[in-house]
Amino acid sequence: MSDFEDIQRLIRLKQYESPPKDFVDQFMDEFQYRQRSELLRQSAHGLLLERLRMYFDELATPKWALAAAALVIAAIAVWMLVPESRSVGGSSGVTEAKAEGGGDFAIETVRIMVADDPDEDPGLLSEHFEGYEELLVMPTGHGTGIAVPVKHINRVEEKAEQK
Amino acid sequence: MNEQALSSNGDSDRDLVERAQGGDTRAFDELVRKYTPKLYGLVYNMTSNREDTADLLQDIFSKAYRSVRRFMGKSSFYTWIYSIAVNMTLNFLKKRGRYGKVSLDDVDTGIQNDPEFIRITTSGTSTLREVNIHELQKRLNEAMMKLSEDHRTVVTLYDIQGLQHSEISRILGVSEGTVRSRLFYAHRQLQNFLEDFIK
Repeated sequence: MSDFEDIQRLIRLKQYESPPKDFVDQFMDEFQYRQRSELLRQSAHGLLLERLRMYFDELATPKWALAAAALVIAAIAVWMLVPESRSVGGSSGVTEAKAEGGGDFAIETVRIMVADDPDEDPGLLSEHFEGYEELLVMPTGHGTGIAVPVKHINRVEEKAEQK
Repeated sequence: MNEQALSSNGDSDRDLVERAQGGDTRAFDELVRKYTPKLYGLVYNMTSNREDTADLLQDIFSKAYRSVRRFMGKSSFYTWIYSIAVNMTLNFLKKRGRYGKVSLDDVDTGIQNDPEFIRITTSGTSTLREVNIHELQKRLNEAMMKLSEDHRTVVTLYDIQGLQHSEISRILGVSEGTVRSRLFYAHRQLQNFLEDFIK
């Protein structure tokens, strides 16, 4: 018998170190308890997820509500953007004009806010009114004024001379 | 473990596994009941501690239960559950190694009536004849715990659990040559640790 065989025989004695009596039954009880707890935990977790999913599904069902919300957002966006596009601010950003319309011209007079800077060139306004090379700004007091196209003034003067 | 026993085990295991995969918890319970004593021997001989063994076995079977749906049947359930047990036990031993060593006051009785034990203790060395069961088991445990974890694993699977080299190779995911090599070095170390008993 070799030395290794002796060692193996000795070590093999450890196979008798078996679980104590009732170990398997107690172990099974504990395992089943843990298994059930885990299943319950999983089902509770699943139930929570399912409820959340249903909640969001229900929230998404009335599509008209989403459409209405989108419409409101769009309206707010338009309301915020449109005044900006209609403003006639120069570089100082203090001049605002509103067309009053009428007559031979698409825009005959424009009421404006006069810039704080007296040196500001009223001619800049022409950049905002296509077709007019130059506007004459006539202050009306209280920081406002009327912008009149120079061409229009010339025509009025010509008519007056003809008369 | 012979091939026929393995094959018949495999058939009944496959049926139980399929039922467990279908959600039959009683089928899985049967697998647990069947493998608890075998895995107890494996884990206990690697940890030398009863409480750790019981806790680890709970974790091993819980993990197996959670993973059983993903078990594809490429290996036998036997190999699969042993792989889980070995890996989890080795991880546990690494953690325990960092936080302190186990005390070796856990010795078992029950071998005194074993014919092999009687034969060894009556015909063995004088040391072996004089030693009592507790002392022998304590020395065996101490010798086992002196081995590296890899060496202890192959000794447990081969010498104590009686698995073949090929089965150990599949469980550990190493070649049979590596298994034989680890066994050789483990036996040589055990020979030194237990020389009093074999001279």
